Amino acid sequence: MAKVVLHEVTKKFGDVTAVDRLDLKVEDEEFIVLVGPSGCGKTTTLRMVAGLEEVTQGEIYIGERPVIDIPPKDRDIAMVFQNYALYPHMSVYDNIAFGLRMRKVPNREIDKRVRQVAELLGIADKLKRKPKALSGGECQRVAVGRAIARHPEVFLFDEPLSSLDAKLRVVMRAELQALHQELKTTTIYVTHDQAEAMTLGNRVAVMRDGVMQQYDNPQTVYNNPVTMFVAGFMGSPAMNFFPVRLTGEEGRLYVVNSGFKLKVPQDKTGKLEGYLGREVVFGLRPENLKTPEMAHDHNPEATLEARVRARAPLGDELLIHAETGGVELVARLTPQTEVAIGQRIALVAEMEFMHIFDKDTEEAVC
Amino acid sequence: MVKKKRLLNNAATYGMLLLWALIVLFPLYWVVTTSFKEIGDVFRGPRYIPWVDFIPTTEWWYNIWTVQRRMLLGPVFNSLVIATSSSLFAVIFGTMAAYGLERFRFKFGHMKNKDILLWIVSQRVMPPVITALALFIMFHFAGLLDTKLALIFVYIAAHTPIAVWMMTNFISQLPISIEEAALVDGASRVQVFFRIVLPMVAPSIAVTFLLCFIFAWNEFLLALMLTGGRTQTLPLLIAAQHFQRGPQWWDISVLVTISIIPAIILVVSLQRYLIKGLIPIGK
Ligand SMILES: Nc1ncnc2c1ncn2[C@@H]1O[C@H](COP(=O)(O)OP(=O)(O)OP(=O)(O)O)[C@@H](O)[C@H]1O
Ligand SMILES: [Mg+2]
Repeated sequence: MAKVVLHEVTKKFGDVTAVDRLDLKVEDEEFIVLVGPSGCGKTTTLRMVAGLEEVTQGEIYIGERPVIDIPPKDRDIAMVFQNYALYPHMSVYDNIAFGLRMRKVPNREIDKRVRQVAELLGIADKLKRKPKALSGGECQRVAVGRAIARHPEVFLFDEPLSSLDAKLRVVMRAELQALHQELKTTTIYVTHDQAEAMTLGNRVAVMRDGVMQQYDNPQTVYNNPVTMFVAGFMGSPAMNFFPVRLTGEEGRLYVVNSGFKLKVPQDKTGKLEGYLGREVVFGLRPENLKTPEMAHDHNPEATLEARVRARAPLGDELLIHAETGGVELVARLTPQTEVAIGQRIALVAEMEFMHIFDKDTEEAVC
Repeated sequence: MVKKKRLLNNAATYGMLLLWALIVLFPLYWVVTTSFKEIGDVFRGPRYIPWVDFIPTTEWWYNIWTVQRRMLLGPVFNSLVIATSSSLFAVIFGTMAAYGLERFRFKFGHMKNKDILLWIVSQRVMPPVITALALFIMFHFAGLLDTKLALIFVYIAAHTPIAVWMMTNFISQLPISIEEAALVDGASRVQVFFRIVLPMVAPSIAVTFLLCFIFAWNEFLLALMLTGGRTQTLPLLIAAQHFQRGPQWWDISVLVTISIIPAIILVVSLQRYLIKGLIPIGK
């Protein structure tokens, strides 16, 4: 097992900069998730670690070893591809055994490991089948089995669950987690699904247009996003953003727009003083907007009024889309809440969870 | 209404296919029936249907099998050896070249991969007559005239471009991630080629081999220039019948029928791969 370090790694395809001076340090035995929207350079990053893509600039270390000039086969990594990339002409057994054979592991050892892995992944009864005769979930397991049978230093996963149905995805997520608990192999996992990133990663690296935005544990990324992009990307439904003006009265700060005037909690005012009187972006997650009954609070300085435009009952929660001061917002309410489309409702904003972003740099102020 | 339209569509489709099959199969039918006709029936206007138009005879087949067997066996053997070995090498070289062209970037002067491929294929566009004389002189000095080796060399050169062209097309349809998985799994490029790529394109290789084989099996002009009595191939033998003994259509028909048999055997035995090889590779 080994740590992985990317130092100022840049990848250009002609004029396109797919990855831009990326610094990423993955500790030994850590499970980190690279997350970001389509085309942000996740796959490219992973492929550079695997050695399938040349690095334009920068250095990559696996363990203590610089690997830029080392071919994939000698990097001692294993990769699970998005489309599984199973060898179609080989049985499941041979698929799992292939890497071991290439490394000249003795036959008896190969047999032992293949059966072990198959047992672990619940595909022991499918060893003789060809990939064509497997379901998507089974293919996925074989692909994982092929990776873990070799006991590599590092696992690389490229959206391994994206072609599974929602239910199976949740199951496989849990299995991957358990697997990492057991094997402790350093893992870099790529996904564009923020929920997957949150559940799986010890740390989450959020990327955008080839640039790393934030790299921290999931809770920190969720609670203290450093940019508007991270704030909007992590969490579903996305955080609400309101263009507001910061005003001060008698030592108190307010965020004001044409629909509401909300008081900023005392402990946040320190960082905001420089922005007094300026336009900023005020961010609040859907779960931090509540009905007065839910919040047990009628504080008018934390309440805004909104007109309901659509409602989406999801069983365990009710999402409402509403409009205030010309801005769309989403609130996550309890399913019992009675609201009708067109109705005006009061929503209490839990201001201790508020975020303020600089309007121009889109960076978080607090 | 919709059903009726579908039915009509189907009928039209099958009608066209049937018509096409008739056009393709009729010459074949003609050759086979002629090989069973009396001399009189061959020359006295068209006779179409056995036992209706004419009484079939097995005389010519019997003749070939007994009297002329020795004459036939040599050329059949030559053709088999030459076509098989030349196609084998053409397919091997073609597949390797195609893999290289598909997976690596080359540059010779101002020529990139696409240009190189076009250049290779262009070797095939040139009519073989142009090279025939030069080849004759070359092989004369090399002392290879009237050897199987000469024709094998020439056919390898002539059919490798076809193999490159076809295999490039097939290999370009392979998902590259399977090979990348093998590279990460610890295979070298050579191992990837032999253990991953070759098995995956096996059906396509079969198709390409078949095509090269049929080209080589039927080739006439270069064979005429480069072979002699010892290495005569089947097409030469058939043509010679006409020159030596006049238009003996019955004997020629028997020989032609025999010469078609290997191709038919190959197509039938490779049929499974033919269909797979011609459609894009899935999953
Ligand atoms: N071989 C290539 N040639 C040119 N551009 C490429 C190549 N591979 C990737 N790119 C570009 O690099 C950028 C990053 O691509 P990458 O595949 O890493 O994105 P991704 O984050 O994995 O996206 P997705 O979630 O859609 O898989 C994209 O703009 C893409 O168009
Ligand atoms: Mg990708």
